Amino acid sequence: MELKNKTALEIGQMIKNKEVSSVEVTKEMLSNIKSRDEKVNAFVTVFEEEAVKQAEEVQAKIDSGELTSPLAGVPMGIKDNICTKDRLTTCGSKMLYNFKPPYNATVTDKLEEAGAVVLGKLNMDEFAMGGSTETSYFGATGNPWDTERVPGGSSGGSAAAVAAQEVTYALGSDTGGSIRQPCSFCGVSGIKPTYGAVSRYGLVAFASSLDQIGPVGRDIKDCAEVLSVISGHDPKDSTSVKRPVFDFSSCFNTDLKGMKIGIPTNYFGEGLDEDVKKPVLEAAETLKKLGAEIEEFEMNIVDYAIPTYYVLACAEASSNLSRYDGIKYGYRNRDCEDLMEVYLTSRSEGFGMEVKRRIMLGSFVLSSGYYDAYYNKSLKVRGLIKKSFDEAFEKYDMILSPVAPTTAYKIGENSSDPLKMYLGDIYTVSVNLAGIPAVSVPCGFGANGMPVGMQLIGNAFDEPKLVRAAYAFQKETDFHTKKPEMVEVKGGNN
Amino acid sequence: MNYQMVVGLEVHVELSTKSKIFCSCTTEFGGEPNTHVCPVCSGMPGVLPVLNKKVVDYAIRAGIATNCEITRYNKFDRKNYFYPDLPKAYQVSQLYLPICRNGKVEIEVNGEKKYIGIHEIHMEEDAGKLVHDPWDDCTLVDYNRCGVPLLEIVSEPDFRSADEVIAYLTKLRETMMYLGVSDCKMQEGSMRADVNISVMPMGSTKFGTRTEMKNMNSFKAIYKAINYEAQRQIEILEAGGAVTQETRRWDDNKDASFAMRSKENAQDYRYFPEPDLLPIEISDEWIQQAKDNMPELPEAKRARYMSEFGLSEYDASVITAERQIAYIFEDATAICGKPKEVCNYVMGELMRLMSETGTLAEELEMDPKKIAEIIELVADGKINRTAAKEVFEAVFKENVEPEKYIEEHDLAMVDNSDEVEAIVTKVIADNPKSIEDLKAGKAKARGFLVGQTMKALKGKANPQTVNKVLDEKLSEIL
Amino acid sequence: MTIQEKLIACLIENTGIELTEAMLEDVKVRFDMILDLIGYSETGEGAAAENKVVNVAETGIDDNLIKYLEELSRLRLTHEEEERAKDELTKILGYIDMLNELDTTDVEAMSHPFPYTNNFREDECKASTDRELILKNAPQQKDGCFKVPTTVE
Repeated sequence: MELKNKTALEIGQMIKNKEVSSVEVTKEMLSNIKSRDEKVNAFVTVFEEEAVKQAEEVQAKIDSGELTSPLAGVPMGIKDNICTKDRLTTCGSKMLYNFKPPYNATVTDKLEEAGAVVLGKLNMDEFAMGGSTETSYFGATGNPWDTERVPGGSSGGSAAAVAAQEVTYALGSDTGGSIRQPCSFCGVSGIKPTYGAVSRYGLVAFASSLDQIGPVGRDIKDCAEVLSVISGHDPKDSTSVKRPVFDFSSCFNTDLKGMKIGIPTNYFGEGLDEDVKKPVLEAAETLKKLGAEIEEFEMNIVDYAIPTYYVLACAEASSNLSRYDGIKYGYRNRDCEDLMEVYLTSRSEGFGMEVKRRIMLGSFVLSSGYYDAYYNKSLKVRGLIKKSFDEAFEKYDMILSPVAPTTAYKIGENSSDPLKMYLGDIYTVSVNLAGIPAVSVPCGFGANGMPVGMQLIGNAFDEPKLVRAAYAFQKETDFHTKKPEMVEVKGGNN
Repeated sequence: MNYQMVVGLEVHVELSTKSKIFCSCTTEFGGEPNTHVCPVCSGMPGVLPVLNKKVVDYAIRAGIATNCEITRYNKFDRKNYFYPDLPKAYQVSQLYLPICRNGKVEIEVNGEKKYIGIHEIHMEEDAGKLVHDPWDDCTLVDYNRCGVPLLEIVSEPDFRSADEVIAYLTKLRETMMYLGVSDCKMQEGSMRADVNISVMPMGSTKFGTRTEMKNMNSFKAIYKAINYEAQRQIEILEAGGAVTQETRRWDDNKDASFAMRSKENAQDYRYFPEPDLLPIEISDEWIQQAKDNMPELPEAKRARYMSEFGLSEYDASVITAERQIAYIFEDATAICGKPKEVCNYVMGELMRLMSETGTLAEELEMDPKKIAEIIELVADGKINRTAAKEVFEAVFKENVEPEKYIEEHDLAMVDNSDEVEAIVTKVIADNPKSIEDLKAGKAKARGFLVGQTMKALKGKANPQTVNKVLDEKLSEIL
Repeated sequence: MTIQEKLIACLIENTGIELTEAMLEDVKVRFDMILDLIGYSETGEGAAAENKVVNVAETGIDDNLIKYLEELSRLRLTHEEEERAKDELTKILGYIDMLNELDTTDVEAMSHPFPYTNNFREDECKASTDRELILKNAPQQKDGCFKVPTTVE
C-alpha cells in the first residue's frame, strides 16, 4: 500500500475498489501523526480510538452500499474552531481548553454524513487571530518543510497536517487569509469560498461578517470535492445564501481559452519579496500558455484594505469574544470573591496577548465618540473596496495575485511587532471584505526552498471558474505534488 | 416656586409568540431553571440566530396601532455589556434603524385628551433571570427567559403627571392585548417600564437633569414612584442643590427610591450592526396584510357598541377594558341578538363571579354560546331570571350544558296547565279567607293567591300560565 | 462648535435620527462622561480639541484611555502589558488613520457583504436541549443553574 502520493479522491476510490479499507488508511494516518506530529504540532487533539471506530462504522456503510460519497472513509482533520459534538473544540485558547460542545458545526455534520473519518482537531492561532499559528495556547505549529519556520495561519495546523500527510485533507477557516496564506506557506491548495456559500453554524466566531470555512487539500480537485460537500444553504445560518450547491463537474479540463485574468500591478510593488514575485509572474505565463488572456490593471483602493480589515474584524471580535466570561463554559479562575473578579481574572488569564490587543482595539473603535471616525468610516471604505472588485470583474473573469508578501518566516521572527504581522495580510484581506472567493495553489519555491502560492480571486459564487483555472494550472505544473523531506523519508518506510 | 414634572417611558412588552426570537425554544413562562434553553439562547460558541418571522409581524401590528411609520429597511444591532443574565454579553436589539418610528397615542385624563409621542418601537431579546442563593451567598443563573422576544416602546418625554402615565400605560396594555401580540401580564414581567423623570420650573422649556428607574412592573408602584421622585428632585432644587443623573431603584416596601451604584450608570454599549442577521425589508404588501388582519381596537369597539348596540359609554368601556370580555360579549350578542341582555349578564353576573373567584380575564373559559342560550331560555319563558342566574354560575364554574343542568336540577318553568290547575285548586281550597276577601272586593287578595301558587311551584311556574288558570278558576267561584 | 456639538452633528448626519431636546441633553451628558473617562478637557479652541479626541493617533493612547478600554473589555493588564499595549495600539491607530485620505461622503456603510434581506424562520417550537448538556461545560453549577459570586448590591 502506497498512500503518500495519493489525493483524498484517489484514496476514496481505492476504498471503493476495496484496494484498501478505511480502517487501514486511518491507521496509517494515525501512525504518520505519531511519527511526525511531535515536530510539526499540527494537532491540538487526536481522536485516536474514536477515529478507528468511526472508520469501522463508515467501512460497514460503504460495504452495505449506504455510503457512496467519493470521500467516504477518507480520514481528515478539522480546524479547532469548528465544533465537533462531545469532542474538544479549543480554538487554540486556554479560554476553551476543556470545552466540548454539545453540538456539531453544520460542516462537521455534512462531512460525517458523507463518510468522513475525523482524525482530530488542528492547531491554529488563538481564536484564529494571527498569521503564523504561534499564538496558540497549545504551542506553535512547525512548517513541515522546515519546522523552524511557521506554517502560516491562522489555519496553520490544517495546512501543516496536509503537507505532512498526517491527514488527506482538512477544514480551515478564513477571516483575512487564514486558509490561503498557510496553504501558500506549506505548499498545499485551499479555497476561501464566497461569504455565505458555506454555513458558519458551529464555527466559533472571530469576525462574523468575514469568516468562512473552506477546504485545504493536496490539490484543487480534492478541495472542490470537499467544498461541494460542505456548501449550501443552512437554515441555522441566516447569512448562508439560498442557491444551488456548486457543480464542479465541468471544471476539470485544461483549456483556459476565452478566460480573462487581470493582474493588479499595485499588488506587485514595494514590499513583495522577489522570491514570491517571480513564481507568481511565471504562473501568469503558464496560464497564458493554457489559453488565458492576461492583462495588467490598477486597483489602488486595495492599499486601504488592511486598516479597514483590522477595524472591522477587531470590532466584531470584541463583541464575539465577550461571551467568554468564565460562567458558562471554559476557563474560570476559581478564587474569585465577586463577579467583576470572575470576569477580569478569567478573561485576563484565559486569553493570550494578541487576542486581548484585538479586543481592546475593537472596543475602542466602537466606543462612543469614535464609532464614526473608525468603525463607520471602515464600513464605507469596505463599500469602496467591494465596488472596485465589482468593476474589475466586469473586465476580468478573475484576478491573479500573490497570497503573501513573503515565504514562511522563522518562528518568533515577526511575533514581536503586531503591525508588521498585520501587513502580511495585505493581499488577502480585501477578498474577505468584499465577500468574494479565492483559491491559493502552489506555484513555486523561494530561494530558501520554501513553497510559494498564488492567489486567484473570483467574483461572488464564481468558485467553479477558479477551480477550473487552478485545475488546468496543476495539470500543467507539479509544484503541488512536491513533498517535504519528512514525508519523503519517513513516509517511505511504509 | 412651582415645578413641572417631565416623564418619558420605555415600555418593554414580551411578545406572545410560541418560540423565542432567535431559536426554537418555548417562550412559556416559568419551568425548571434552564430547561427552555438550547445552545443558541445560552450563547454557546459558534451558534447563530435565525429571526422568528412572527416577531416582525407583531412589531408591524404594534406600530400600526400606535400610528408609527414602519421603517421599510430596518436592522438589528448589538448592544454590548457584561452581565451574567446576558449569555452572549450583548443584547440583539435595534438602535440605528428601529422597525417603527414617529408614532402617537391618544390618552384622556379628566376629560382632557392629549397625544403622547412614540419615538420608536424596536425589537429585541429578553435576558435571563438571576436568583440570589442566601445559603451559599452566590447567584444562580437561569436562561429560560433569554431570547424571549420583546418590543421596546419608547415614548417622547411628553408626560406631565403620573395620571397621564397611568392612562398611557392602560391604553398601551389594552392595545397590545387586543392586538394579540402580548398578554401583558405585569406580575410575570411580560410588561414592564423604565421611567425617566425630571422636573423644571413651571413654564420653562428647558428640561432638568433626569433620573431613571428601571424594570417597574406594577401601575401602582409606577404611580407612587413618579410622584415620589418628582418630589425628591423638587426638594433638592429648592434646597439649592442639583439633581444627579443616575439610575435609581424603586423600593416598593419602603416607598422610596435609592441610587444604584455609580458604576452601573456609566455605560458605553458600543452598538454596531449585528452581522449574523440579515436586514429586514418590509414591503407594501406586508404592511397591507398586517392592516387587513388588524383586530378592532378598544376605542373603535367602544364607539361601535354605543352606536350599534345602544350601550351606555360606561357599559361600553367596562366591557372593552379586557379583550376576552369584549369577545364574549360580541359573540354572545351575535348569537342571540340581544346586546342589552348580554351586557346585563356580563356586567352583572360575569364580573361578580370573576371578582368573587379571583378569575382574570385571560383565564376565562366562558362559552359565549351558553350565555346566549341562557338568555334565549329566559326570553322563551323556559326558565325565570332566578334560575337563569343559577345556570350562569354553573356554566361559569363547571362549564355545564345549560339545558342539561336545568333538567337535572329541575329548574324549568312549569308550563303544564294541568299541573298548575291542580295547585291552583288546592291553593283556593286552602285559603277560603282570601276568597272571602275577593268576594268583598279586596283585589289585593288575588296577588296573595298568585304568590301561594308560585311558592307551591317553587317559583318555576310561568306567571302567564298561573294568571290564566287562576282567572279561570276564580271566575267559576265568583 | 464644541466637541460635543460636533459629535452630535455627526451622529445625526449618520443615523438620520432626529433628536428631541431631552435626548440631545442626554447625548451630551453621555459624551461628557466619555470625555471625562478618557481624561479629555476642552482647552480653548474647538478645532484643537476635536483633533485630540477623534485623532487619537496623533496624541497616542494614554493611561486613562487604556484603563477605560480594559474596563470596557473586562480585561486587566499588568503595568508592562499596559505600556506595550499603549505603544502598539497607538501605532496601529496611526496606521488606520490613512483611511482619512479617502473621501467617503456619499458612500453607503456596508455592514453586510451582499444585499440579501429577510431570512426568517416560522414561529415553531422545538424541544430544548437537555439541561445536563447545557450545564456540562459550566465551571460551577448548582440546582440546575450556572453559579456565580453574588451579584446583589
